Amino acid sequence: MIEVERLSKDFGGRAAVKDVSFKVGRGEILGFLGPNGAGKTTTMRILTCYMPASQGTARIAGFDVFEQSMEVRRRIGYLPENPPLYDDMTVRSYLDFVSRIKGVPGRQVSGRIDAVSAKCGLTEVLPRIIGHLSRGFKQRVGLAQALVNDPPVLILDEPTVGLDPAQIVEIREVIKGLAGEHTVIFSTHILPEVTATCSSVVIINYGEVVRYGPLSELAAGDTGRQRLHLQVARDEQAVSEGLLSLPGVHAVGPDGARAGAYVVTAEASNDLRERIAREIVQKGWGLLEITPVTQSLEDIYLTLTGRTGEGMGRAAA
Amino acid sequence: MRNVLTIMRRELGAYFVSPVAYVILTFFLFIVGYFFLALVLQYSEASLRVASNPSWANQLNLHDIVIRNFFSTFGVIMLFVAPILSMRILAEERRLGTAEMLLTSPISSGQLVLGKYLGALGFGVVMLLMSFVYPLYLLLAGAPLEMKPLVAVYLGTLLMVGAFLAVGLLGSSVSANQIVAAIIGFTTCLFFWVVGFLGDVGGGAGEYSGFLKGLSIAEHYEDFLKGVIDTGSVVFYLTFIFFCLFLTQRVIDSSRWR
Repeated sequence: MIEVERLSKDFGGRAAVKDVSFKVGRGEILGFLGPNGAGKTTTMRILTCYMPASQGTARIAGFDVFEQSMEVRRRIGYLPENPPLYDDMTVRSYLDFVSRIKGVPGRQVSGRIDAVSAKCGLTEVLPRIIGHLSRGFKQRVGLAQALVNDPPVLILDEPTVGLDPAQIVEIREVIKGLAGEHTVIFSTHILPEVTATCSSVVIINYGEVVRYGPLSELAAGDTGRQRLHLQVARDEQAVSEGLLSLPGVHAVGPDGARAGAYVVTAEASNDLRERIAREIVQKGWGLLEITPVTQSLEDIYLTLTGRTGEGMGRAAA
Repeated sequence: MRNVLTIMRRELGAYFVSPVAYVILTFFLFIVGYFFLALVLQYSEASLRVASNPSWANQLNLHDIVIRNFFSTFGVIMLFVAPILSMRILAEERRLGTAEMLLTSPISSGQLVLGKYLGALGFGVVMLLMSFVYPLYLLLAGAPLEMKPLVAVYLGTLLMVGAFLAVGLLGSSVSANQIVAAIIGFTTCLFFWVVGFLGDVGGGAGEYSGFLKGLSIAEHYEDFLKGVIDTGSVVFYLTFIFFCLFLTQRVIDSSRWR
């Protein structure tokens, strides 16, 4: 549905986006992840035909964003970072205006407005003036604006920014509900957002894609290794030596300051995990806990973007 | 065409959902009303003089004394009001971020510019219609007002306001700041208003007098004020408006590449 190939954009010699490629299938939700200023908005603006790329191509529903811009624009709903609202208008007249310029046939306008306002929880505020609404409602009007012509592709730039936790959950539910019928790209720098809604992820940093794939693959990691957290009852020197002598175990180190807690880095296989457990039990070290440490998206993100903060050193494995 | 009308309706509506329309109309009608009063008093005084000396009667013309001077003033007032009307049209879209929505909607920049322009022009027409209360007052009072010259005056004023608004729209397209847009619009309008003056100075500029006067919004307006519809002047205004709208459309398209 969305195909991006080697997309680049320069702003007066400064590259905002370099060689970005990814694909989104019909009905999928792609999370577009990256720190502020990584090139998320620029990429989205190219996809929505707001600005042309310096190099590379992007196709939406088979239409080139540059060559067949009008066809593309008919098929997208776009929520920019700042919702594009006229403060003086009422919600209803605003949605009426947007649906008309997006080519919704006159007779269907009123029906579409009712449908999207129900979906976005705006029914009660339809007669109110946009300028008087709270930040959360404005964001929802922005989302309703993107949905009003029922486009097959939705591009949402940080749809949950500035909302309170309850509103974030609501908007997230709306986005999730769009999957299947709609293909969605949404950008964010809030990680749980992605885990909660997306099927695949693009992580972008300094304009370049640093990781791209289905969420499940990313979380598993692709290093061919696993990390285990161990807790034994009797902390002895023999524990680390004994485990290290097992074939396939690469490293054993203490896990924090707690006595008897270890982190084991080993080949990724269930057999090996069983071996380790048996070894501990046979030697009588007193196995209390053995947990595989899955890398959280947060870890991956911080590692890849190289923006590890103080106190987050555990991610640097 | 449908897109143009949609944009136009919103643009015209935008004046009326904010206090802008009401403030401008109120003060505008007050000021032109004040001038109207002065001119009518001047005319009635002249009538008294004619009564004592009937040989001056052929110099007493309601159109020349009241209507012509009234709309001459109207033109100068519009020189100030038009940039205020047009300054927000595109500048505000950029500031609010709605430009991003409009430029990613399936409408062409030409349709956008035309719709925006017609919306502003619609407000200009509302102002003109409102100003008709003053000539109407004369008509109701049974004054000897000629209709044909009046039509010419209204057509000329519409075209002139149209030219001012087109310049203002161009000013509004180059900046996201409304004040900057208004200043660009106002100074450009003012320049085309006074550009003919240089032709009158004589000296070196005398040679170009015809050319400079031909560029002047005020000079062409004079023809209409006399009650004459000059095709040349109509063409001048329409070309002027078209050129400004064309440039505005180019500015919008080029903004995508920056």
